[in-house]
Amino acid sequence: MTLLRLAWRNLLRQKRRTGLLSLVVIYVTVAVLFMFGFLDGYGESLVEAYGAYVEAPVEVARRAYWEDPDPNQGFSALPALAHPLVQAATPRLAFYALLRSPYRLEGGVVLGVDPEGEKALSRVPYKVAEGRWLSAPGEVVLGAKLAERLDVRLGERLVVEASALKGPQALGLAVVGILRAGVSNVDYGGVYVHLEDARALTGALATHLALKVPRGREAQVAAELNALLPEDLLAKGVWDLMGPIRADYEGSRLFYIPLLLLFMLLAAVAVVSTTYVSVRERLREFAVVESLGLTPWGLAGLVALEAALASLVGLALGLLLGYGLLAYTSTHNVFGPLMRLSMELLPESGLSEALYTAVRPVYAFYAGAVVVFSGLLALLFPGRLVLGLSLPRYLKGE
Amino acid sequence: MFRLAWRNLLRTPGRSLTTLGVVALVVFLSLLFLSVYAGAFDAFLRLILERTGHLVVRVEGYREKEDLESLAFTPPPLDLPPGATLEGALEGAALLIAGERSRAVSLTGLEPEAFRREKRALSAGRLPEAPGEALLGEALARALRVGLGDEVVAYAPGGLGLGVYPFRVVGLLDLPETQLEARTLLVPLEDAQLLLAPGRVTLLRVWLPGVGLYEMAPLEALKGELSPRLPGLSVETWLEANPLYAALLPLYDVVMGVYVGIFFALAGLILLNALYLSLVERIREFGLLAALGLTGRRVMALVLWESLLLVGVGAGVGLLLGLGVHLTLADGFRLPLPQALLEQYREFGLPEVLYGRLSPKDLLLTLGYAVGVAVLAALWPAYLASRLEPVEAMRYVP
Repeated sequence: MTLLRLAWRNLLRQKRRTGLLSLVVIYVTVAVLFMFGFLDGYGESLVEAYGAYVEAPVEVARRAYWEDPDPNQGFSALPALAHPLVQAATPRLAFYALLRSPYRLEGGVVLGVDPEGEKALSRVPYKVAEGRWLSAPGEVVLGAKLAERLDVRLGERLVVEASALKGPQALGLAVVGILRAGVSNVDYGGVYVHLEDARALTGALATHLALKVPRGREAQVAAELNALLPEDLLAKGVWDLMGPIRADYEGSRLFYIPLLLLFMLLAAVAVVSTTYVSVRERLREFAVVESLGLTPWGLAGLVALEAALASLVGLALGLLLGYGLLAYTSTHNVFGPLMRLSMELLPESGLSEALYTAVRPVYAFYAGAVVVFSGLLALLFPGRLVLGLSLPRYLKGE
Repeated sequence: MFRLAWRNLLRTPGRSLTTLGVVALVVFLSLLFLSVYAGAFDAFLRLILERTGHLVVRVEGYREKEDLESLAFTPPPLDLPPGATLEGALEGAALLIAGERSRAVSLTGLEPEAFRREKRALSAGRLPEAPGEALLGEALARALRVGLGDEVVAYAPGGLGLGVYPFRVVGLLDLPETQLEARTLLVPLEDAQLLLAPGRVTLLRVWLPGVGLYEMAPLEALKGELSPRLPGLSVETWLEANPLYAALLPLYDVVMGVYVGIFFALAGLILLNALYLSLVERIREFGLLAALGLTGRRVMALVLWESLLLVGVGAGVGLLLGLGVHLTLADGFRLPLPQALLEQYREFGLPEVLYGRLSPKDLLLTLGYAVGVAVLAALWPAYLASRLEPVEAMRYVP
């Protein structure tokens, strides 16, 4: 406690110097907090997009379907699933089709859904910007950008042509809804038809089951289901359902985490550099303290404590600023324009136009590494000065 | 003044070396970062250029037109400079049917010259040599369960052509993006015309020999010559034909400037810290210099020189290291990421081997930041040093 008070008093003796090195730590702390918040926010936005819009939190299909996603690899009978964490389940039938409006022809993947079941599981039914969600066979709901490309409007008819188990089939469907979900795959390529229509076009029952499970438990539920399901069925959690965009998230983490560590190390070097000067100025003072009974290691500890405390001051202010910034960016979609551009560039990526940073207490712990680095480096460098202190020389004032 | 500044730096070699090391590291990392990112960006743009052609001729206002009838045109004769090549292509959507399977595809009719360009992506079989022969993406062939020699039927009703056309698969394409590979069908132009729009094309591609990726002047010149001779048609450079990528170009420079700025801000703060410490250690000396008649302005110049020297040497070392590594990267490199991640990045069109690029603009940006940081970081310590009262400073006790 005495050492702590002594270290604190020493820092206050040089307010300007302490302030200056705190600036470095503040900068690095804000950078650490922001980058972790951004990366986690990006990951959460992908989970939200794939879990609630593009795919589902967990999906179950035949192993053959995961390897070869074609309607004829679908279920012959819907599997019964009993798991306490499964909150809702609905069958889906994905198939490839040609979409024909009076003006334009476009290929795509059509999703046959149970309209009511989908409401319990997906956010897509709640993102109908014009018209309404599916209610009966003979209807189709389209993503807004796809509707623009096909040049179809509400009330017009769209012909869906497919060729599968049943052979060539076509259905004329009424466009009853236009979706604006803010998720690229839905807006740029979403085609939703009634499950009965999908079955009529393909001759298949369903390609997969979509399951709703609590957020963050997707992988656990998928693993537990896999232990219960028959051998030919496989459940996948949302992270395994993501497309190549997952690489962007994982690659970013691999790139930024070492960079942030380097930033923290450099900040610690700045702190230690100041501590070094401060120790050199006070060698005589240290000699007096040592002669009064404090061991050389105690002195080195005092130096490390000074460096750690100086970092702590910067850390505290940096946390204040960093969490303030994260609080703002976690409630305001400041990255929206950037994400919208990315969505246009990569319409099949599953990117969402909303990206809010995450705010987690653990970032403070990560940023705290700068305090540890400072303390350790201070022990290594200025600490060595006091360990090798020659008492008679400094006490004489040489 | 220069010699005095140099001598002052040598008096505290440890701190000078640390600060110099930080500056060198920041300059090195900035150059590495710029080289790698520019390499990745170039790879994306090169891919776009390869798919677009240097110049592309389409129907005027094609972005607003939706139906094939408005988009297709009879190719006019074009007077091109020697060495330039012209290829017509007809693009459309179709449902490709094989037995009880079908997939929506992007069908492109190509001339023999364009097929030859696709040869490097050919993973099996050969290029089409006769009518009724087609190349399929490997993923598409897998999805349809067809192989070399099998027959597929392209179904594209509602156009000006036959609407249905059978093809024999003679070759398979291995394209970087699986999504694209899963919908690519390349057929001879004459067949595509019979299927979709007899005698017409939807675009003409002009290729110019020896034109670099960012060389726009020869393209603009040829565009200026061709445009008045092609009424009803629009001539665009490859960048104009891909407006999103054109919009990205200036944005890329800004983003890179911000990224590099983040590194340099940290270096600046560390430099400021080092200069301030150096001032604190030499307050009595500065007082003496002032008492001997050194004006405040010259004291400021001394501190500025020290900062510039420190950053100059650090930046020089960083520049040498950075350029050395860049020269290696310019010969081709693979991102040091796990193979699974690299494969997923390929899905966005990022090739496994990238080529580092540093433009004079990048070097100027890095050096500009270095000089800016040197001056800005020195301003405050220099101001403090210039305002020292000689008597008070000479009596200064830390």
